[in-house]
Amino acid sequence: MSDNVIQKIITEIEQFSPSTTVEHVGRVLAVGDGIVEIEGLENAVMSEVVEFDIAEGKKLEDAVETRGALYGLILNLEEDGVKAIVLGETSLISEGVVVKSTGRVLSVPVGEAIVGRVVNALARPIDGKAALENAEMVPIERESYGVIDRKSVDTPLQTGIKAIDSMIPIGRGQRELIIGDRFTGKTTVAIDTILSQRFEPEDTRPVCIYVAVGQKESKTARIVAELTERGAMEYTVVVDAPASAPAALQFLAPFAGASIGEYFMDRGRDALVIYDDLSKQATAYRQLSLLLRRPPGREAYPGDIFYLHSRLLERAAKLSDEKGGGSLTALPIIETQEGDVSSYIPTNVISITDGQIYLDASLFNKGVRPAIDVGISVSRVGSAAQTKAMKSVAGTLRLELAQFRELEAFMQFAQDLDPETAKRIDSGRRMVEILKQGKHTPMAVQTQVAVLYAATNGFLDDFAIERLQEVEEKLIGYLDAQHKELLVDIRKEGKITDETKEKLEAALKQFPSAHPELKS
Amino acid sequence: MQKAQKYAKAIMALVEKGVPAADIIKNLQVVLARHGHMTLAPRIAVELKRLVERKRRATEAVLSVAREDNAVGAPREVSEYLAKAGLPAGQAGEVRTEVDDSLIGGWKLRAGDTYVDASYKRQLLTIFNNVVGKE
Repeated sequence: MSDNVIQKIITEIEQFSPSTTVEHVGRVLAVGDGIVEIEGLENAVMSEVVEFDIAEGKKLEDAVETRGALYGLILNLEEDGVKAIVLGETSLISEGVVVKSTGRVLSVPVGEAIVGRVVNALARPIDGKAALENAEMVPIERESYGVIDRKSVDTPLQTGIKAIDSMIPIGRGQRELIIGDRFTGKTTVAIDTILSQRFEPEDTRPVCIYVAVGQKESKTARIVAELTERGAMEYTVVVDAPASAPAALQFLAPFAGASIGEYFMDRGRDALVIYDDLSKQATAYRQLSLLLRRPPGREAYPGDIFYLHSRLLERAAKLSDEKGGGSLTALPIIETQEGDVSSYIPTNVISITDGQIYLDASLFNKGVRPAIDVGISVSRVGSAAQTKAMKSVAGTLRLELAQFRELEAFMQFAQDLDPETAKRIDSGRRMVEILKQGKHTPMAVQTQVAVLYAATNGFLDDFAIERLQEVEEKLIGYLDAQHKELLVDIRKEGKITDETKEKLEAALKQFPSAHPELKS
Repeated sequence: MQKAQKYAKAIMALVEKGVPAADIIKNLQVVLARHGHMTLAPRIAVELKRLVERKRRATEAVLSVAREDNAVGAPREVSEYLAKAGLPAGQAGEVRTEVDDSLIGGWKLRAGDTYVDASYKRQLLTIFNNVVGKE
């Protein structure tokens, strides 16, 4: 044992003053499936944290083995006692175990040091690194900001995905739902959004919080590895409540994520929280509610399932200047079954959020990735935050694509097409091709503007549709290498000035001659 | 609330009212038969036992000590804490003493929902958690 450790023990023993206090306790009557029935605790309040004395009756050496205190959270106050969910290993609790009131609501430790860490649903590090230094305890549930404290969304949150930033723009402080069947790229959109924040200047870069609920540990590990490899963990916190975690922790993890985000928002900074996904949180809450014998409602969900999600998502906000001007953007994810967006949980969350990005399985299987169905995807407030540069290039994009989809369906029955329709279809196909984007390849906003300008103004019409992906790649390389200042100008100005437009068009005209091989 | 629990509560209420046990049992059989609830009888017995146990726990005080000889000279603190818990100090008949050698030393008292742990084990665990927690 090092001298340092010995000294610590000596100091602790010297400074220790035994204190005996009167505590109010209850006793465990029954335990099972993560739910504990407790008798006593007459003064307990809703959402209070209770401590299980798992050391009781154990010899000191055994008690030391289970040194981590085991806590529970009161969710039901009943005539003869209370019911609580266990925030840990239920098997450590047996009938008769003493339960102590703590008089506090559930809180998580948050501080600057949490950025870059992987934590559990109670914000305790699980990445094997040091404990969080200078952490402040913040309650995981709190009332969201009121009308007076908020202001309208006015700053864009770039996702780095052309289809989203151009047609379904998201603003800082907005709640935008990502919805779709399994394996349609929902998590990829979320992770790309995190990766894209590296294009932002450090002082305005949002702190990203990725909350994994009910996910496989292997998937979360892959995500953490990806974020680390691309340097995105420097501004990201991962909250992990895996499928193997008790339902209680899966239910609480999104709230812990919101509290971490609020910590930064309250300090005037921007934060982005991704809940992946709320369907699994709803399932965990349903399980707890049924075990707590709360009356089941539609699809056996409890009556307050809407409130569960609304109170969570209402915590996303853009604060007024008086409140520091910080923001918390929420990107909840919902998994649908067989593309059914009209089932219970999806409709609930659609109605709570400020828009949705719908990912379509058939588009995904056709190779359109990201598989965004522009027809039913919408952003209700984000356009107010879209940069002028993006607005100018993406103005009619959405409408044109919607018309193309209609024409495409009609085309299946038509033999001959008039030249106007054929042109529209060709232009639509080109646009679909240009909006395709690889996994984990987010694009800076200025690059997106330049590419979309080229596509919407006919500069790419001479290239074969099949080669457009390659053309785009070369175009980006060409602009980066030879017209860097142009991209910097677009970024800085936030709009395409007459001068920039002139330079951009000149550059785009020269591009085919810079890459003659693309036309062959 | 489950039916068995309701029956058990009703029986407890009758007992507290002073109705003789024989009458309660006789009438209960009739009521159970009339409502087709005879199969609930074993469950009612379990619930009743639970209620009695709960009531006993709520009223009695239990003093746990590490060794039997500790109980004889129970510290004055215990009396003070008994008073705090609303129980008359020094009435040994109302305090059940049990030996729990895992306490190492000191004592532990539970009276109703009031709990005082002045055992050496608790203090050693506090030191341990403080030291390990700071690492």
